[in-house]
Amino acid sequence: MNARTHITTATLALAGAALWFVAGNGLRDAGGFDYQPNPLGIKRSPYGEVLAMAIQGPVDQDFHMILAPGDLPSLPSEAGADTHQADCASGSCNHSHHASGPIDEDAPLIDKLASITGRRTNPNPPTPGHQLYLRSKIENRLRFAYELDPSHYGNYNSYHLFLTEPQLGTETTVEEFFEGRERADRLAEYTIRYCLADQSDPRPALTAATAAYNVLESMCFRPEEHSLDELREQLGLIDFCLDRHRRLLDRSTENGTWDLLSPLRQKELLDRAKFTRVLRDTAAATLDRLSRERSATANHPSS
Amino acid sequence: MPLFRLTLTTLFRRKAWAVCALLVLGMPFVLPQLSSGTENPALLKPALAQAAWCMAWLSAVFWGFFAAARIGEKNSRSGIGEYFHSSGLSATRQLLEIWAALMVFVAPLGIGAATVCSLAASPAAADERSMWIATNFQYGLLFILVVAPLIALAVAVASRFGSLTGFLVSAGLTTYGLYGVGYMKLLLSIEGNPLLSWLWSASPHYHFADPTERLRYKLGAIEWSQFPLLLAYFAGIFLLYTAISRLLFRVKAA
Repeated sequence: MNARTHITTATLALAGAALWFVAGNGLRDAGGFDYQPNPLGIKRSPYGEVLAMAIQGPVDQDFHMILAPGDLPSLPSEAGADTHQADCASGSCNHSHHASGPIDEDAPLIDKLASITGRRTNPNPPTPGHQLYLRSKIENRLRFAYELDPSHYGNYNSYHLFLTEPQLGTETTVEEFFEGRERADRLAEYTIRYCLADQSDPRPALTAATAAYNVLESMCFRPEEHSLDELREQLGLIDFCLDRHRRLLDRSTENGTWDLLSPLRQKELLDRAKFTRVLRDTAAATLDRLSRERSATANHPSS
Repeated sequence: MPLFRLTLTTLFRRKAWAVCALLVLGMPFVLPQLSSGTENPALLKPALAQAAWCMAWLSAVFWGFFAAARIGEKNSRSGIGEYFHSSGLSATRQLLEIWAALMVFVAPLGIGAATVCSLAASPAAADERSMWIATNFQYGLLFILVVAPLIALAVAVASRFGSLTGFLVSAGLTTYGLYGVGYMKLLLSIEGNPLLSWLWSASPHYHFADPTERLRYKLGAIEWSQFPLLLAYFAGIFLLYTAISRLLFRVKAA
């Protein structure tokens, strides 16, 4: 390289570095450097929603792998999960991953190979430490599924349940348990905001209704910290979400988007709506009871 | 411009550009069928826009940088560079001609994604549509400004250290700038290491050129008063990488 090339290259480098530095400072001061990484924008995207549904299966399998029959709690994530888990809990299921009987020789080759490679042959259950590790892995997977699609009923409820249920989660102390509940409350608040931003699909409003119910349940967990008006306001939010769900459902029936859902998804949605309305009525009954108790205490403070 | 024409013809005859053109112009219409847009038509246009830009970025990284690295290596190891050098074409000129030929194929990836988004995924409201087109135009410009120096870097690094290194350096820098700096920030919020903090500030923040979030939430175009600052930021990186590329580029293998 001759001297002219050296000078030109050095000038370019210095000018570039100076420009990068000055503009970078300007952008940093404007807060532009702070962002949440989201590779290929997959989280919260239409593709993320499909991917989130696809990873519900592996989560279900992880539960079976670590929890012995009888330990299985009810997860509201999957259609038919209740009967599935009830079978597992009673030990009467024939799932290959914890069946103890012989391998079905007549099964298709791929199913047979899956049964051979997925079968637990270790007679010892996981140790508490190992179980905690596996639970943390499940929690990561649930969080990932939730981040992919926060408006999905199953994603939100599974993750929320994991954060609040000591039998399932990774909290081992009382402090961690309360910390988990606080995280769950923040999660619910974010989910409500996120879901109510959707003005076309009736399903997110249903997720928002259950998130609002979870917040109300959390408030009832410490009733002395909340007035009846605050609790009623939260019940009003559940009603608002359910009303939004009904309106969007009617609209989707009118404009034909309801027919785009498969019969399985339609049934799933209707079942969840029914379940959420039951939750709402239970919450209303609890508030009535609390109201009566507080009036009785106010009328007879000495008793 | 003999080396420009030679590189242009070589790239054209290899035909890999046709695959990238198909990815950017065709896949945005196919991929939404795999998204939840099939259940909720309101999501079809966002899915299309996301697919178009993702395809443009993936094509630029996996094909653009690979093609650049391969040509950079071939130029120095096959004797082509030495031949042109002996015929009076300086190393700087060779780098510029190779780089320009590559950009003829890579720049249309960003322009194609912006065009697909503008024509097929524009919002219905007139004022939102004009903002949408402006946003895509801005990101098309930023895409070219980000990818161009990395192409030159891939050519230069490959001419000295081989095509694999050339490809990995540019692809690694892009991935790090798009996503890695975000994860580093998360790490910094836990570990307040001053060295890491400085490294994070001095990293190329390519996520500014990624339009997926902005388009999905229809945030509108970047304020025109602020846009020159972004252009200056990437122009600074452009100049520095060009200088580094010139220092690294060589016309014949050692």
